[in-house]
Amino acid sequence: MIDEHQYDCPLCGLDFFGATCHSACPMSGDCAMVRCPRCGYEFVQEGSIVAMLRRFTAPWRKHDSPGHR
Amino acid sequence: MSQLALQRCHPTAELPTGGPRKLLLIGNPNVGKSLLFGFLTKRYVTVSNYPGTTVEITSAKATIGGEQRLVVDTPGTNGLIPQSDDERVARDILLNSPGADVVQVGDMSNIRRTLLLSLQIAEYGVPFTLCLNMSDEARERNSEVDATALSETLGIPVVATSALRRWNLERLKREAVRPALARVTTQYPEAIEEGIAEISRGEELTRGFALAILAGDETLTPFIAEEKRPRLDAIRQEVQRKVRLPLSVAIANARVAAVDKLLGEASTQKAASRSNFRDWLGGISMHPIWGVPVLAFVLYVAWWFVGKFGAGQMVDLLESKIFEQHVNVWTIQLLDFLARFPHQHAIEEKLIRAAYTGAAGLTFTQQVAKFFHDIVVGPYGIVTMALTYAIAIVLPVVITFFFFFGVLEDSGYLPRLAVMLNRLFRKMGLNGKAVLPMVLGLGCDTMATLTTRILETKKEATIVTILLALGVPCSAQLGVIMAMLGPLSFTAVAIWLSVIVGTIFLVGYLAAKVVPGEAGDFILEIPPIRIPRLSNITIKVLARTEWYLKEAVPLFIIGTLLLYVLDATQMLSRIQQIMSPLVVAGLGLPAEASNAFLIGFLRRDYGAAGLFAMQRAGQLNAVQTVVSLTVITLFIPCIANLLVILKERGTRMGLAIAGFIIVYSFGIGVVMNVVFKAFKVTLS
Ligand SMILES: Nc1nc2c(ncn2[C@@H]2O[C@H](COP(=O)(O)OP(=O)(O)OP(=O)(O)O)[C@@H](O)[C@H]2O)c(=O)[nH]1
Ligand SMILES: [Zn+2]
Ligand SMILES: [Zn+2]
Repeated sequence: MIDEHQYDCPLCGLDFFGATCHSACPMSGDCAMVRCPRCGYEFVQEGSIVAMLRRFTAPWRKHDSPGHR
Repeated sequence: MSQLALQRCHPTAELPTGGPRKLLLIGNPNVGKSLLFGFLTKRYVTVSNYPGTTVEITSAKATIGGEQRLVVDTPGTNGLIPQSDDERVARDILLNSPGADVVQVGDMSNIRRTLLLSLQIAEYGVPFTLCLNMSDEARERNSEVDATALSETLGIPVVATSALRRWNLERLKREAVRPALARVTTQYPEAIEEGIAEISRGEELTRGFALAILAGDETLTPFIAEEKRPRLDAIRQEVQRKVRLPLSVAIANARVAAVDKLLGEASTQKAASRSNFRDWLGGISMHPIWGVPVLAFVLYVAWWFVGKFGAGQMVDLLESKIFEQHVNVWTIQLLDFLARFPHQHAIEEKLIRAAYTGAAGLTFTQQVAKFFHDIVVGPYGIVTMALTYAIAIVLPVVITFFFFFGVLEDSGYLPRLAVMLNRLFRKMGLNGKAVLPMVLGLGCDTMATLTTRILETKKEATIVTILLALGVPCSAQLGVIMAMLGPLSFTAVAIWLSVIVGTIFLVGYLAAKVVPGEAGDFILEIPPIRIPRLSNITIKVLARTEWYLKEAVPLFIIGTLLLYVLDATQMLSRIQQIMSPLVVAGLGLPAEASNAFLIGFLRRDYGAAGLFAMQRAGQLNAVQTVVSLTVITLFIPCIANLLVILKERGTRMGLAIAGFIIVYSFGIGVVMNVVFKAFKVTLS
């Protein structure tokens, strides 16, 4: 499955594109876990709640100025 | 841009203006700019000839780091003094795009060549972000460059990426829109420095521009007002007279020397910046001995935050205030209205309870009504048990835990924990290989069990599987366990912790016995310690909570229905009778605790929630809580995990593992109970 999201692995710091392998958990066909291709750490994909919030706050976040580090 | 005094706009050298701000990719040839460009933009690519040339420029609009940008891929160039049409176009785009975000893309394995260009971009006073691409190749060749150290030396964002493997592209996007002015100045021979000063006198002009004039860059001529050209020529000839080598060569040499100096600094920077508090913290949290108190502190904070705040205040609010007083009362009243049969609910403290009496001698229709009534609001009702447990008890706990866990993830502590445990295990002569799956188990035990495939021998895989199932609760379960620990005394928590840690070391010890030889090291890239960002954490908490609701609540409902059926068929009391020698006599718990262990087979957090509810209702004292909590912690994590164990290890081995875990967890519980009884420990 090609997934356009990009993820940032909390364990090894790898930024990767697309969920190469969703959970093989036998309890659910499409579990929301994303697995890091480098270290194997598994974490939760942003679900529909976050997606919805992103949509709602999108017009409003545009005005953020790019902060310098 | 500052060379305006000299600079006359190159008449044809403008890309279309208007629209979003530009983001330029600039770099040496063949460093992967085009590939990166493809990932940054994905769609709507425009290819056009650069005005007045046959050089093709690719550009596309895209959202980068949340900002609209026109991303422009420039031709590969080795320097900003152009030797070809391509290089000239690259330089012109750079100089003609004031205010653009500039990303220099370089080959990490070719760091000198990359930095040579960086220095020149810096000399033009252009803020930029450095992307060290092809880090995969650099890693293979063992020529990796420390991006963090380089970033500190240069004072600009530096991101190590691999366009091929798609490493770190998200971080590149974030940093691409935060370019900075580099803090490096190349020192040139005195005569050249004087020349720079002379050229710049009375002009607001960058060093890069002055140097290009000194180096005899003829492509700059159109940028210079005609009347100024003779003076600049004179200065150049004057400087050349004092310098033995051709000026362009002398300048290039000075840059190479500067790059070498930079690289030297960047490698010592690493050692020097240890004095920094965050690095110090990052360092000790990985230390095999000092890392232990750090871990203890982290656990203490978790206990306090999740156990006291989440399980105390939040559960009180949701369970006592919202569910007991409103949701449950309303649903009971609603069902009593819809499904009528004679019965009286128990009333405690003016609150209607699910338990009821007086439902004897019912007619058939009343039996049917009772069936629907009980399935929703009976003692094993979907609302009064499954949802009360899932939403009123477990949800506030896991939300606070997810928040805490999000902070851990975002701060960069997890990889350090893995390194620390690995070192600790090896110091104790144990097998460090088991550590990574264990840390992975914090995410999900089921998945971590699958990763045991990478272990070399069957024995190793078996041991790690047992270790995972026994000692490592997945994140949601850890939350509920913390909740039960909340009201306990410090001693009680310490006892629970030592039993779990002892188990891990016991299995680790067995692992070392059974699997001799050097344990292979695992390689983790350690990201810097970061200050967690609230927005990141909030997103994670929401995502995890949603996942939890989807994944766990159905199992809670199935478990409740199971109990309901067992209860309706009188099987439940039979099971309680059968288990009573173990649960009542062996573990010293009330008979109903067997329900919790029963549903604990589905998910151990559900079992723990049952125990937690009993604890809240005052049915478990401190000793009973510690004993039952230890058993449920050591129990098989969830039915999914059991299925994976059976699949991965084969049915026979899988059943043996499951059998061992059940016997071990209850066995430890019985031993604890006996010891507590013998020494009359109350733990209160
Ligand atoms: N191993 C590795 N190869 C890469 C990476 N990025 C790009 N490449 C390869 O390097 C080669 C050059 O990539 P391009 O994207 O064409 O490079 P470029 O910088 O656009 O080249 P010019 O346009 O000539 O400057 C291609 O074969 C890519 O597949 C990387 O991160 N790792
Ligand atoms: Zn990872
Ligand atoms: Zn009723």
